[in-house]
Amino acid sequence: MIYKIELDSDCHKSLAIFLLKDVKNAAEIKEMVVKGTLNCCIVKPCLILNLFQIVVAANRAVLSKMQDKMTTRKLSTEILYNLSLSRNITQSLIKFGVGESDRNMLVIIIEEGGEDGTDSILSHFKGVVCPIEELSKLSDEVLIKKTYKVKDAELAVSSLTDSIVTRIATKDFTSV
Amino acid sequence: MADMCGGGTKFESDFKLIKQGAEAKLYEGTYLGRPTIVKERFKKSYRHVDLDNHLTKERMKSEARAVLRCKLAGIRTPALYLVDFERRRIYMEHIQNSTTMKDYIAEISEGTVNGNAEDLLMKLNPVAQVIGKMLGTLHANNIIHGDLTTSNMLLVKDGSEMPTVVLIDFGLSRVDSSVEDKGVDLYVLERALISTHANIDQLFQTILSAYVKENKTESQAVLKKLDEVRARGRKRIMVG
Repeated sequence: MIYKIELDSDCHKSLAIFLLKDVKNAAEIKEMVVKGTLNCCIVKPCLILNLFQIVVAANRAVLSKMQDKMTTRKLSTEILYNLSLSRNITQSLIKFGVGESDRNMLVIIIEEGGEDGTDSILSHFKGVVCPIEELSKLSDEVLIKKTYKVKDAELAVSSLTDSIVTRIATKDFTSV
Repeated sequence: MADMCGGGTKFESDFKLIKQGAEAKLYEGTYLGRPTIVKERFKKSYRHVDLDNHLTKERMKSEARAVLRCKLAGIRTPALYLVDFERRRIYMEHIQNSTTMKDYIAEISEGTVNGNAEDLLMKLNPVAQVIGKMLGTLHANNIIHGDLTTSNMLLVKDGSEMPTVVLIDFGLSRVDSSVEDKGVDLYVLERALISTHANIDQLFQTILSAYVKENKTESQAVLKKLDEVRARGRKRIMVG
């Protein structure tokens, strides 16, 4: 049902990702995340091709926080910012963040080694937790290629996931 | 921050040192669940700290930029997972089931009866075509690799009919449109081929003819430059 992975060993943090469908209180959830009362990041599934995309963006966010080099103020916004190619913070948050009328969302939870706060976080969502594999039905490959500006010449020599993560890893100093 | 690069950390136990070059150490291991190579650039104690940090950061940026530019142009390069200026590391995809072009050529040479040059050249023709085409694309997109050797090209054994070649180590690369730099780039490869692989002087010619087909508009000027560079050596001005 869920996906969990250890992030960079210097950070002692792990990442858990949940796929939720039919969430009826997106507006309420969004407000809690913005206020910081709900400690997670929520992402539009249609723009996520592969969970590794989130892993690379979140790993970078966690390291930037540790190194005091975040571009935005919170970890949750830093992940959304990292996912986007744009260096405009507001646009990035709107593009990858969940809208008030969205029903499907990926919930990203960063945990300190050992602790498990996922149940209490997920309890706020009025929706259904689905197998993470169902993400493939929600991701919009055409939109993703357009968003990350990946052309066919590149796809002849790279998987779309590899092209995306390379862009995420270098977004600070490259433009496509 | 010093303790992060010091001995005995989690990094040292997770990753294995595989190569130590003049500028950096290479490690292999698993990162974020994927087979990964880490390139960590040294601190140079003879340089002022700020200058050293600045230079390292700029070099890491141009290296990562070149990797991405190659992908955009349709040249195979490792995917990048993290560029960390603080720890001076680039985390990248570890290309599986690959050998360096250097080892591959050596292997083919050994298996050729009595070092028959014609036979050898025929066997190496498919990879030479792919390399030439790749370099033509590289230069047509104004990317200078800076260290074209057969150790910096990986041949992937993926069972496909056309050889799959991955270009690696962009530590000296830059974006430049000058014919001079492209000529030098090719010259470095020619020297590398001569010094590491005896008996295959024709291989470079095969690579060049494939290069010309791919980089049509400026190849004549580049080849002319290559002749100039051959006559004078890699450095343009020699003083002292």
